[in-house]
Amino acid sequence: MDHLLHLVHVKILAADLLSLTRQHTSPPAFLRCGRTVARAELVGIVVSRDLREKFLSFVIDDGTGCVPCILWLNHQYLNASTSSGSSEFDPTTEMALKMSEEVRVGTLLRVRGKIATYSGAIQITVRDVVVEKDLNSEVLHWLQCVSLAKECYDPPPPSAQGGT
Amino acid sequence: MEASAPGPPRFTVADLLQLRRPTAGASSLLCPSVPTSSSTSRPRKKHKLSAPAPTWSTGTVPFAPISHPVLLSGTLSLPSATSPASCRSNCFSFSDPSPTAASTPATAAASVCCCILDFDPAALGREILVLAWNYLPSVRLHAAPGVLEVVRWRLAEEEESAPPAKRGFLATVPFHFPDQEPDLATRGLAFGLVRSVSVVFSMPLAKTDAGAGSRNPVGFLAEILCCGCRRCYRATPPEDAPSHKFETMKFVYFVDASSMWRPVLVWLVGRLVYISGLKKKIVSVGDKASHTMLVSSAKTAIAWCPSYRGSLPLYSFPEKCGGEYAGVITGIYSQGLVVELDNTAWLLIDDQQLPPPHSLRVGAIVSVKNFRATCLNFAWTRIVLLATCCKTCITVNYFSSVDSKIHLKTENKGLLGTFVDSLEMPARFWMLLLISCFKQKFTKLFSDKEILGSQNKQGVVHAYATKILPSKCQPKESLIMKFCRHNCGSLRLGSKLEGCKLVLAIPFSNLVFKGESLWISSMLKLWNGSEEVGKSQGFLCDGFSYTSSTKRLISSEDLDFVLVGSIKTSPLSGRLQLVDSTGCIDIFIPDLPPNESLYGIYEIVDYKLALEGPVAYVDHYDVADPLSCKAVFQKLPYKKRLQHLNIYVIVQWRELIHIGPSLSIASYINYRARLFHLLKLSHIFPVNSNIQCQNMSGSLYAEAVILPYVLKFIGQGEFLEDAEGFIMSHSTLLGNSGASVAKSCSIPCSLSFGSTDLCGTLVSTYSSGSEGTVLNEPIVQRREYSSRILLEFKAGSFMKYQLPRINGSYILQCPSGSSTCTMGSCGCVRGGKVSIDSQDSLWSFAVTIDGNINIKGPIGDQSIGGTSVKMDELFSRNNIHDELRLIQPWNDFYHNSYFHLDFSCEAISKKMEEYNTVCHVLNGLCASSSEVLSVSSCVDIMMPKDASVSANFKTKEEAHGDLLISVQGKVENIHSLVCKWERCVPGNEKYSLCIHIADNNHAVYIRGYSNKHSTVGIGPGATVTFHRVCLKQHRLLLTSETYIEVSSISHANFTEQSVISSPKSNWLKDGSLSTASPCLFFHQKYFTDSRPMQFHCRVATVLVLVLNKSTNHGETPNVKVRLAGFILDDGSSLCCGWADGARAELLLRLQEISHLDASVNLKLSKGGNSTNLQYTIGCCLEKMLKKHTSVTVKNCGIPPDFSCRDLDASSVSDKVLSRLEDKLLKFIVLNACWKGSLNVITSALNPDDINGFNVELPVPVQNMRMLWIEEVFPVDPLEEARRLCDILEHS
Repeated sequence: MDHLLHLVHVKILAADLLSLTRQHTSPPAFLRCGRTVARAELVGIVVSRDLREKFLSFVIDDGTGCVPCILWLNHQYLNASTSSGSSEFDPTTEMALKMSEEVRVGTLLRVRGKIATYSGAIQITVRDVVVEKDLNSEVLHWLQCVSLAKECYDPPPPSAQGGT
Repeated sequence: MEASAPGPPRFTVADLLQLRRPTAGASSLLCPSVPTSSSTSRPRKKHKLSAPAPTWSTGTVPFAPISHPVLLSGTLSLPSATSPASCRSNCFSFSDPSPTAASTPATAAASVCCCILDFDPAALGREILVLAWNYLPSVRLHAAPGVLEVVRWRLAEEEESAPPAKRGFLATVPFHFPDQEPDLATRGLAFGLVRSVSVVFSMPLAKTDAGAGSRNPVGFLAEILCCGCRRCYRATPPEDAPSHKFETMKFVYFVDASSMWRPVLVWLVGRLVYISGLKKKIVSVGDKASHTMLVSSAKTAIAWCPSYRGSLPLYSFPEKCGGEYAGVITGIYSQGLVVELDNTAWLLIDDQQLPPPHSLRVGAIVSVKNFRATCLNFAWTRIVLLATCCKTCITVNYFSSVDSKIHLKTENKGLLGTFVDSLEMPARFWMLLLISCFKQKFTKLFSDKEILGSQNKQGVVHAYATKILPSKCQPKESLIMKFCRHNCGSLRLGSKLEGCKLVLAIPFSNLVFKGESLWISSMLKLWNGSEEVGKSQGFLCDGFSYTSSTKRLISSEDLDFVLVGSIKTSPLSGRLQLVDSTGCIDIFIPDLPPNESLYGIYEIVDYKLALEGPVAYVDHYDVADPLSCKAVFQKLPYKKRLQHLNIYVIVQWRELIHIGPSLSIASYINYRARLFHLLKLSHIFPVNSNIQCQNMSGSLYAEAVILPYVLKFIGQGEFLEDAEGFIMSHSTLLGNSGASVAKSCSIPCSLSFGSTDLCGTLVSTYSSGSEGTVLNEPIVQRREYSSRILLEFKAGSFMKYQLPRINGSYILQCPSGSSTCTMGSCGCVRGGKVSIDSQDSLWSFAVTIDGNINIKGPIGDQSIGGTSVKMDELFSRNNIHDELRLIQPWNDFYHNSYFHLDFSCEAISKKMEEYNTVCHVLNGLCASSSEVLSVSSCVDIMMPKDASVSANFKTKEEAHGDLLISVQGKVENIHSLVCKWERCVPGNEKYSLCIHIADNNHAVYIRGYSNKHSTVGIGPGATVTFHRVCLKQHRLLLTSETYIEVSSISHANFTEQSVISSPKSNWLKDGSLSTASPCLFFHQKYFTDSRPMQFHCRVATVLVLVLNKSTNHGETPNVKVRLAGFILDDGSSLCCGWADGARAELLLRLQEISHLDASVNLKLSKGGNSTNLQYTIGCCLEKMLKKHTSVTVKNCGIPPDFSCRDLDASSVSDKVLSRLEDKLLKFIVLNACWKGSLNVITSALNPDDINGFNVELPVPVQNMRMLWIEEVFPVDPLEEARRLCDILEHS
């Protein structure tokens, strides 16, 4: 199962995310204890927000660090280039715009997305955001991060066990 | 204070006695405003001016401080023999110094009761200076002086600067005995620890001892744990050595003059004493037992040991009356018999064995020694009870200055008091609680005598308690035996309580409060349970989302209290209410028998409590538990806070147990020279209707149609029971109207009521046509307008307002009193209004054939028109399990009618040739006056497909051009209308309510203003009839005349939450679930067994979605998810989960109201002209599936990445999906993928479940774990976090 970790959204704290080992490949790969991770899920409070025409960039602070996030709002251009002009009937952009309205400074957000780099810094390319109304979900996320790290993210991979 | 400086003004006891309100004083105050002339002025007068409140009696007035320093001086002594028993037991006496020292002889004898802190026996008989004190004037109006509480004091002659004199091993207590008798053998000694002191009691002497003039000796016992060592036995006095062994128990009987020593002995409890000069005597009690005792004599002297170097025996067994507790008094109830300490423990004072000290007030710190502690587990609460016994002593450590109320029990006990005294401690506590409840509940409604009883008559509380408590009379033991044997019934404690279930008769203010807190916790659960609750609990109406309403039904088995109250009709709503002095609550008694007097107090053990209100976020407010003993004892100062919440109870008639005072007035019906009219009730006016406003009276009104028949009884007697027969005749026969074309017929029949059965005849006319055929025009209809009357129920007869039912038949005694009047001339018909006061009565009436209620057509279902039969079928589906009736079905109503007019088949068959006539007559008797429409027929009228329907209907009654109709349906939802809607319809600002009702096929809404009282019971799932709603421009409106009748309510809870959460609790309780790890998929071991698993996950993508049009009618939305395949992500790995039906809907979040893009929405909803309509996704899907029957969406992408471009939607019916439909489906999938976490419970997938769907899975998915999703429910982050934290801690 270990090879599938790059498929899941790993529940992670900002400090851990920002300290992932980066491999200078293209596209860049990220390693956590020898395992490749590509997607992440964070829970934190929005501390800044910058809305542009094509994207919304915002920063999530979960108490261990701040993670810059980018939510693209230009799916229609992407679609227009690939499919036969059906962007009018693709709800992705509308949904993304609606999502961007929910990202307000001070709200507790659950963010899922791909781990990426921009200008050398790690950031999240957002797939979806959920506003958490119950503040206990932040605590639950911390506990899940600890538990998952202990049980599946951080134990040395089988290959590494033999090597060292 | 220095000797040379002018001291504070002296205050004497005589001055104290002048005070009329609780006062506090001190010898030194920091306040600089001491008048310099104070030494010359009379402080008494001054104080009189400053405290002129003579009205104080027993209220809780705070102590008024004297604003300048005063020094009180007087002599401390033992109480005098003439003082009351309670004072002699606990108090000292404080009096002015000897007469020679006083300025005026008149004040010399003045003395008050005195309680003193830091008592020292050395002060007895000496003058003391009281440095700080409280004074409570006498609480008894004409009696003894009040109570002085000495907070700080010193001896008058003691030099202030002198060091305290060093004391020896023993300090003598200065008792002064008048020498009465010569020496006897008074060599008895006791040296030891005082354990306990009994109350002062008088012991009857045996007949042989009792001389002619001798009276019973008065005294008290002291239990002393003595040192039995030889040295002590010989040496007098004992030596100052630490080697004493206190092991032998001795009892000393202080009798006659020394019985005054009790206050000192109480102080000595726990201290070492040396008592000499005692006589040894054998005291025998009855024939049973005898005890060797030391009895005090004239030579008796007491010395105490201020400091003992050795160790004293510890003795503390709370269960054997040896407990010790010190705490602050936080409440005193039941005339001082129940004292709450530290808000936790309850001290129950047995006043026969322990007179409570005067200073027992709220705020005081007391210490209680030698009690029995027990934990009482009542059904509704748990308390710690400290029960006093004959050994208990209570000392006040600190006086209360916040409260000045002295709690004194009235001496006059009566039957109830004796009963309370006879009870064991736990039962006695409950009894005092019960008395407190009943007093709160009924003293305003009934007389004190009726509730509490009197010297020789049991009250309601007494009767009620004897019903519940086992009536065991415990043998009375003499106090001496109890005290000496150490037997205070400790063994019996607690055992009795289990045997009988002691319940709480809750005051209704506490009940309303309890209902509110139940509702709040239920709302909080709902709110916290689902992160999307704000949206999913909404209800769409005209494109706007409103807060929907919901209901909770709680069975009495889950509540730990019974309802005790009297039943009244509310003048505000016209509904029955269960009432007590603290509050009221609506009550529904579906099978309430007609003409039943509901006077008195009822107990209801088995009931259902319904809570009904809008789903809204409400916070807990910080108030005490309404069921706690404290809340019950002190009347809860509580006002209903949740105004939108309706609380009511539903009770069966047989569950009402009459426990209260009865009103024995037999209701005889006087029939002599009276006519009785037959009525059909056509309408009941709600309380705030126009009619009531016009008449400006407190009366309630109903409208009835008088049927053209009158009833007359034949016989010589006075009362109906003595009648010999009757005649029921058509009213035209009585008059002289031109009945030329009418023929008459007479049918034999019988009338039964109560246990009486009368034979009689029905004489009627019928209009015949030329060939003898009966004209098919009901007489009633022809005369309908002229025979319509208004029934006025005066304030005193509100109870009768509850009983009539619209469309019910009744017999009314003609108020004109004439036996000859005709329909036309009868006053009650002409006047148009009949007042029904408490003397008159309406009796319900039914027509039967051979005792069978259903004659020729559905008489029993008159309320439901022919069009609503279908609707009945729909409702009957749920009748058995889900519905709770609030009114009885028509069949039962007729069955329970007071009068039954019965025709025998035989008699009718004899008249076969006139059969049509008979039918005609019977139809006339049972004529239906108004038709109740089903929702579907109502819709037909509102939007007629063919013109004839509405044209026909328009012949019915109209008011101001608008149609008034009656409609019945099942309530889908009820919500208040907010300003949003009002802006759309300007000028209709009074509209505030919208009720959605439906039947199998259609739904309508009824809007209008309604007061809070008339919406009780109208919640989702209720079957409701709206009488006289206005049909205006295709809208149904509530009018001021609309009467709303709730036939039944639904058991089922209609919120999504309850659907989801009910299985959750079961699963979580089940230990078979694998829920240990948050990364289940990661660990292969969890898949080796086939147990169900619960985990927390999010939808990564949707693989396949097969949607069908639902074939099950009534399902909302009409969409069925036949199969849905999801890729689930739990943070450790991915798995493939499959689901159908409701579980798939929850994972897809179909029920959520989503803000669809306007363009999608508008084109999907034909005829929509609003630009901001909201629909549930399910609602839009429904429209699509109507067209395509079945739709499949496949995801061609590679999980877990997701793009709408990879979705491939197709229709089974080979119709091409429009782009908008395509977009809708994509939206649904996208919406599901972008949402938060859910909990799922899965089991292993049976491949057959998905085989039929031709599912091709992409390669990465084929390697994933396949699971079948059994349950889906929201995450409770707090609960999950706690569980996870626990796992992490223990791993």
